[in-house]
Amino acid sequence: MIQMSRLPGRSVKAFGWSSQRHQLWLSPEYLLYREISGYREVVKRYYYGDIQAIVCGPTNASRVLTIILTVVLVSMGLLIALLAASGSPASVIAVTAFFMVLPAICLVVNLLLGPSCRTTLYTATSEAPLYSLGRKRAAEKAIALVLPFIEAAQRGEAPAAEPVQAPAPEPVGESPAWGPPSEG
Amino acid sequence: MRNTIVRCSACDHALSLPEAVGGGTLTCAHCQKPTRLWLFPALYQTKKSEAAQVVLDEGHSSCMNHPNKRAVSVCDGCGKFLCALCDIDWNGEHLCSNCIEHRGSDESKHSDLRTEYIHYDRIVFGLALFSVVLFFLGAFIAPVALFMGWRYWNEPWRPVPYRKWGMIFSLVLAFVTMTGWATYLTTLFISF
Repeated sequence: MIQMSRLPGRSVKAFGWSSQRHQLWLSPEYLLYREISGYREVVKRYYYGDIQAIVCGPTNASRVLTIILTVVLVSMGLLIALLAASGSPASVIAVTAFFMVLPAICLVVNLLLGPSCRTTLYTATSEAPLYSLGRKRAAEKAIALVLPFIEAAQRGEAPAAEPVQAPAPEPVGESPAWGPPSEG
Repeated sequence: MRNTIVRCSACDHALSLPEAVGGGTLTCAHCQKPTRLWLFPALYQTKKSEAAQVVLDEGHSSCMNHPNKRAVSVCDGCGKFLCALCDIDWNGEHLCSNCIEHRGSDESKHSDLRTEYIHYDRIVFGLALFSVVLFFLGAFIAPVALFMGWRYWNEPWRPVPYRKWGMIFSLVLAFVTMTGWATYLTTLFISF
């Protein structure tokens, strides 16, 4: 068995009654993308030598979720205030407050995960969305771990024969190597 | 020469890429949103098929699949002469498409070709759990769980490293359920 290490980022997508989990793993020769649904798992291997580009752009998903959850929490807070003002029993207020726990946890987790993004990996034959890298922070951390392997493979160096030890995450350079394209 | 179209993550419009490799931020000309990009040398490499357009010269071996093309390597699987188009570099080996296909049919030996896995440990755990919860069906389900555990013990359940503790626990659970049923049925038989 090839030594592998898991990269940051995960994603769970629900399709009706079933759900699909996505993970990205690092191996000495390829990037392994796992799609797990129930007892079945489908994997895609992207060999470092074949990877042409990785694109990571911002999306509004986390912002929209924050707004929705905030609206829900504020509405419930107002409802509790109204119940308290109308002299409702404490048990009713307690139950209503209990229903606020789940959206509150979701909001905190969403804020902790940071802004959302969409990451796509390009090879000569495929354009693969990497759902596990749906948050900017995780995506940049994971890409920083993968970059040395891709660069080594495309420089023609032999892949590491030793078990893969993911290198310490390096901050991805903030200064752009190139600027925005010229107008027109 | 570049054939791949890299798209903006936000609006799906093609990005006008710089003719250089590396990482950086590019603003989409269509939606004006900044996109992080990492471009690699493979993006600008000449396609292999173009290199294979060499017409056979006199005195050179030809490809077994394309008789008018010059052979550039020999298949490590079957020994066929291959042109640049037919030559597939597979983990350092030169193989033809037939040999790749042949290896793909024997996935257990070539785990790099396998794309689908079944988590048998989870199935066995589910069955073992059902055999306990649905007590009256346990006598039928527990043996199935034990059989599956035995049958798929050596199959690769996942493409990544994993431990077999979950499977062992499930098999013990199924065995205990079956033993419980055997004891109950034996007691019932003796009492009659």
